[in-house]
Amino acid sequence: MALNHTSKLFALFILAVFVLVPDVAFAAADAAKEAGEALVGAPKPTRADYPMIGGLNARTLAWGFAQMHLFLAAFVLAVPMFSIVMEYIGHLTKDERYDSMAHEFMKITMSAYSLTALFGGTLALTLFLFYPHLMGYLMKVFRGQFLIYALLFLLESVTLYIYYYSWNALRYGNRKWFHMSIGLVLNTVGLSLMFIANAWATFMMSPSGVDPATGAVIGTVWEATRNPLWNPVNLHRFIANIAYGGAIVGGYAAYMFLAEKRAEVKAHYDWMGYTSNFIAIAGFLPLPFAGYWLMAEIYAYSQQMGITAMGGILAWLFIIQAVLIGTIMLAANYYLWCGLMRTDRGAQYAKYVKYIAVVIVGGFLVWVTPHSLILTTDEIRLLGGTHHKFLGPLGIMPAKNTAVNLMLVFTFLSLQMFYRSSRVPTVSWAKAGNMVIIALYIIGCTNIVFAGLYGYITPTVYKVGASVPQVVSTLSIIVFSVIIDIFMLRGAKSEKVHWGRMSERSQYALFVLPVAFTWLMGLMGYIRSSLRTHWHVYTVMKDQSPDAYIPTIGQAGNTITVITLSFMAIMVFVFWLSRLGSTSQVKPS
Amino acid sequence: MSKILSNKWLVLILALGVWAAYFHTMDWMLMEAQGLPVQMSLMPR
Amino acid sequence: MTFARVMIFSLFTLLAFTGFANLVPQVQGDPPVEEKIDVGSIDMAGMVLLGEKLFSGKGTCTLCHNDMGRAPDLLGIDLAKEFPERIADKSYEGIAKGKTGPKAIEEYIMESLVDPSKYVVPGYGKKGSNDKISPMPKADTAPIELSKVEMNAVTAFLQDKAGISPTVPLPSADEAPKATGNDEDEENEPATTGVAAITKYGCATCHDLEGSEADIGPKLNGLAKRMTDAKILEAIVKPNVVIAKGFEADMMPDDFGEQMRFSELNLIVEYLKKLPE
Repeated sequence: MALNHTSKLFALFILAVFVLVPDVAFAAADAAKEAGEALVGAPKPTRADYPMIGGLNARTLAWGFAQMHLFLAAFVLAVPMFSIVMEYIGHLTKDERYDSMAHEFMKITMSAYSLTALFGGTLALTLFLFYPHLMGYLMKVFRGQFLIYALLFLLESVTLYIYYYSWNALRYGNRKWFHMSIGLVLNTVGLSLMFIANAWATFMMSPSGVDPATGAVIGTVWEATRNPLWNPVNLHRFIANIAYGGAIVGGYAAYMFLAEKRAEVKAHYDWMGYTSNFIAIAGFLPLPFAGYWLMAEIYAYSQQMGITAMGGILAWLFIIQAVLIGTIMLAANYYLWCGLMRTDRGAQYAKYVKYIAVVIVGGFLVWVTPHSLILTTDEIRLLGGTHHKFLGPLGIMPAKNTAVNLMLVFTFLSLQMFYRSSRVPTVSWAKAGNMVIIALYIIGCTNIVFAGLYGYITPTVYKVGASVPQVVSTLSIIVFSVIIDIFMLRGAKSEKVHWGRMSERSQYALFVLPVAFTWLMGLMGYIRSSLRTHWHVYTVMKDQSPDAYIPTIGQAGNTITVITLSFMAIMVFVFWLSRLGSTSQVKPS
Repeated sequence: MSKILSNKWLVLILALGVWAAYFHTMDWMLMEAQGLPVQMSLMPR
Repeated sequence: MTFARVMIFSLFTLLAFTGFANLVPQVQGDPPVEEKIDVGSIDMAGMVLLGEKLFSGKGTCTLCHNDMGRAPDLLGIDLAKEFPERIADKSYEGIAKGKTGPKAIEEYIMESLVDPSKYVVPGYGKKGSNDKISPMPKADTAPIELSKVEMNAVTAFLQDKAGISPTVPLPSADEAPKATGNDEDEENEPATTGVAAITKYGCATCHDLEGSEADIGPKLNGLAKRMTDAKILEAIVKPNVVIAKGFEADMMPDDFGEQMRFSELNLIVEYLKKLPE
């Protein structure tokens, strides 16, 4: 038996060596290249070099497949992440409900997994077919990494299947720990996959490890991987995936809640919907901060790219983004407010809801008001087409930052109120503690407003800097309230929560979330790609294809809607499949 | 101490002061770390 | 029933987003169009005009050089005073050091374009570089890629702004080999019919088209019978791959793939296929 294990380990080791070999071999080839031969630059295809196949629009195809793959992959990567956390909570609290729910989440994921792979394959095929020069160049830059990716994918499949199918076999005691370890491996592999794919995408935006003049490969694979935008995108996508996964399973739970008649099953799905919404908000709250970082890094990498993003044509995009984010926040808050009714104590908080609503709607309005956006279509034309003369929206960014930070704070307040609604503090200093938290909110919000004013009157260069204290204020409020709450709610009396005591209408908020998230992700994908303007690989390889232009927001919006609809259709199919699996025919008598 | 804690309004005023000090220090440090003009007059020129 | 309600609700949400995206101003971001310079006839006034265009267009200068404090507001400040002052600055170590007059200013501007970090105006350096490194990209490299002539034009424009008559050289023929018409806005309007495209690219000069009876290139009548779409396309963009009997290679320009828009190529192919036998 022991020998068997050793031989297996050895086999794994050999496998690892093989995975690394292509990279080692290519590195050796590089050394030879450095010794003598001239370096070959990035390819410069002409328009005629782009294959045209049956009148298909290459970019729209690649766009669609890439986005579908991304949607599915984000979902498939995210669910195991919070499944394992839930599994752990279930193990700690000995509450079987968590474990069953994590299992149910995984069941949905399993049906989506093969579709993810299918779309990934189709995407790769499309890219190699329509953009052979670009793909050839990327292969040259990333070399053996493509093989590592393929192998990791294999490993992902293996661990995912084992993790899911061993669930009931490894459910209690020490075996549970073993099962969670498998989940950990699964998540590690999944994240590595995402990080590698991110490296390719960010290399195209901010190439490194190549000669800036010619694009000739002069660095190692690692240097190309570790390009300036890699880590900001890694973090942003990691957090967004969690929010996204939560939103999608929330939609599933909401549907099941509406479709069910039996009270105890309804209660289960109400609880599942609540948990999913919690995950979605928890992932969503830090997201703007990761966004700030990404944007700051884009500016640091290239002022020009930063301004392309925030000014001119794409500026309107951030208005649309604001509407989407506002919609998400309102929906999430609305769901929390409805949830207050689940406890008798919650009703006493309900009277504050209207004030929170005022702040959130007000913040939302400030955010979407485009009055200081000076550019109209004609003005942009007048100013020279693709290039942007004014920093337009940056001028009013402080106002928008203030609005979004206040919205975040008040969304958190909703969450905190909801959390409190089922717990009655018993510590002696409860009243004093509440006052400390109230003071924290008052001062924190004042600080956000003042930093906003400061940002408003300082020169542009300082505006971004002034947003940092705002972000830290928001985080401070959240972190300190959580800390105080933890101590204050120690040994708190739990109020009876009537799961399932939810209006039908509240469930629709849970449908808004996945729809808005999906569409928003599509929109952000469009802007990320548009930042490269007419370059395949920014500053290194020009895009000479007929589609080297940035589509209008309307065109992009229509495309994203079609993609979102296809994704929704697929998810309906996936949900149906996972339900089909647990349905059995009654044996005819 | 417990006397102070028992009067919630007193606690509120104290807490307001403490948090104000905290946020002010944080602002100051963050601004200075970024090389921003912390002492700039808040009045528009 | 629940399913239908949920789907209709989701669709409605989605349509609201889509509608909003279609309501905002719609602008398509085309890749920069190469400025065509008529080297034969452009005079200094033309150079200044071109420079002004480049300044807000391809050069993307106004992205930062505006009144928002990111970089010196070149259109707002008094350049006649600024340029000499900067050259005379103690910390200036560039090519125009110690010189005066219009030529020195030309050298100073040109140097700022290709090597912005050579001298950084106090207060505008990269954060933390103590005004030693400029945040400005080099104008002659990607992604801006101004040509020598274009940088001269920008320099001429800035000299003109400073009240000096520009001292830059006028472009000579070999600096802009592809130069054609002056009115590039007219020139770059894509053709919308096959005939217009044929006229635009002068096909009838060599081929017998539209009754031109030219015989420098092969007759194209009945092309649809002889060649597939792809072959016709290939013959336009890579004319030297297959040479018709009795004609020589390298007669037809091989850069139509660069010049034509994709829509125009398609129009020409459609047009050629419809030619009678």
